[in-house]
Amino acid sequence: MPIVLQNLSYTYQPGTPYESPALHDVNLTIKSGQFVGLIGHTGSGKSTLIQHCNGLLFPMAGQAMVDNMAILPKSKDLKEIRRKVGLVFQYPEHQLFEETVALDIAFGPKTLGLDQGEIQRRVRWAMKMVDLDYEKFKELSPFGLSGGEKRRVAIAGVLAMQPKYLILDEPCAGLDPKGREEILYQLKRLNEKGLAIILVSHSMDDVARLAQRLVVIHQGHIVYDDAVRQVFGKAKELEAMGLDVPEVMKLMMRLKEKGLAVHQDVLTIEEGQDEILRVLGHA
Amino acid sequence: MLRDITIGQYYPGRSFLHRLDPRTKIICLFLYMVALFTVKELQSFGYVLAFTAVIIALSGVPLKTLAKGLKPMWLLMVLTLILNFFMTAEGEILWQWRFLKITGGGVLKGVFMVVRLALLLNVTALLTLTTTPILLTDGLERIMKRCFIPMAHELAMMMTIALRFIPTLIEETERIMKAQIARGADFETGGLMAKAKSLVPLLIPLFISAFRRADDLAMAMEARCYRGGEGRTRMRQLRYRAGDGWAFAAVICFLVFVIVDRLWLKLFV
Ligand SMILES: Nc1ncnc2c1ncn2[C@@H]1O[C@H](COP(=O)(O)OP(=O)(O)OP(=O)(O)O)[C@@H](O)[C@H]1O
Ligand SMILES: [Mg+2]
Repeated sequence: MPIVLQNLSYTYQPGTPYESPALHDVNLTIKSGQFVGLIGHTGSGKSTLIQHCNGLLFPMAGQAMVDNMAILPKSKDLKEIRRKVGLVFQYPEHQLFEETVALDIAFGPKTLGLDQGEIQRRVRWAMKMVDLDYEKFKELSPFGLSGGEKRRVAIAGVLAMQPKYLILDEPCAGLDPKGREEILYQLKRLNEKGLAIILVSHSMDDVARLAQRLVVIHQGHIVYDDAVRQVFGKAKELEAMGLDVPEVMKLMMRLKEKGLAVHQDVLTIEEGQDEILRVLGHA
Repeated sequence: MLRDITIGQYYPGRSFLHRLDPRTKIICLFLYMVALFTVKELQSFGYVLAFTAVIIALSGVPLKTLAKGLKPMWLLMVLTLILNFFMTAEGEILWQWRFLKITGGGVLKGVFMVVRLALLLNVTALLTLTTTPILLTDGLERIMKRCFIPMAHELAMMMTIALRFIPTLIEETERIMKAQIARGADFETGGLMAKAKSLVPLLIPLFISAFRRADDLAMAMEARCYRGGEGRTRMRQLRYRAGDGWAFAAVICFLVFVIVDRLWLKLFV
């Protein structure tokens, strides 16, 4: 049972001088359990696209469905759709509002009408998922935390709804390397537990390492939707769209230019290491 | 939803009105208002309407945009109409039910008030629709300085900043609203209490972000050595052009005409 977007188009503020078309005829299917990377230049329509997946925006043409429930403005299923598809916005720490971390994370489960015991259980679980110590953080004010900690509280707030699909809009923007690593590691773990993840990112290295499938969006059109390795094989085309390939891949291309007969389609540092050793005859 | 608010919104264009000096527009608007309140007879609105139509045509702003700007005001207009209908007792009685009655004079007065209100709102809206906020506050500052109003620069700067942040705050509100809806918040259904309570997750982050922005802005201004208006020069100087002369001439003629018409009606009719 997937998320399906069909021939979907969207324009901001139609019929005004500020009209700006954001998506054209987009087709996309996200199956449960997948880890999908979504990349595209600034203003290409990534944030617009993901807001269609849980009924925050409604298609102007075409349709959007989640597990066979159509996303329509007055639909009775909207609540259920929004529970199933968790959306973590860019800079999610700006949505925190409660007195304590535990209360803030409990906000989502409370709106689902769960009983106290279940809410508590979910708060603990969600905090564990993002690696926040329950006893240490539960009574603290979210506004006194560091940027990275706030970010994790906000992500936990969405996880506590126990979604089936988790969409994150640049969850690592503005974090230090350690904070990034931790969040990415948690995402990988969550995915291994069966949660489908859509990761919007400007870091080619991150998506290369984590995603199985890569969707490239350019000026509102989906131009590539394929296995990660296939998409990064088109280095020239990506560059023309203001995108890039992972750093290791660039290294391999340079090595090849210099006359070393390496394969170029490596995605991670480990693969790169093995490939260089192989060519040098040390493997 | 929130983006439908057009108060203070700018409609980009290069029409005659767009190119006028902001000071001209502000002063002419003031003169137009004086003229509008000088008119006391419904039949005199004929030429006021014609003059207003010319202004609207010169602005290049579509009627649809103007009408949309009036939408939040329709309640006020209906209220004006109804109050005047029932509160004025003049002329023949058109309709009566117990102590409530509508008279011919009341209908005339109600229509008169609503037309006046609509004209006032439309022409005021034209000022903000055809003038960027920066130019508008620039013009206001210059006029206030001429009138020896103290702190003119500070007042104008506050207004610039306030105007500048309206769209930002609307955007921010929408963003936070979406983020909370994604967490299951419900801003639409429920009684008054439930609705008020549902605003907490929206308002707290909004206030925090507004304070953060204010802090950042103050810091950025100080970092660029902002010290208030004293000894401050401008990169872009306001200058009157030929068009401004014509605009002043037209509005002053209009005002004189309205005053003469009023006196005429009073003295000879
Ligand atoms: N609220 C809005 N009103 C009008 N236009 C908008 C709005 N939000 C986005 N747009 C426009 O829609 C297009 C797509 O924007 P979107 O936010 O989806 O891009 P993005 O891929 O998420 O960019 P980024 O990487 O910078 O986050 C842009 O051209 C943008 O200017
Ligand atoms: Mg975005």
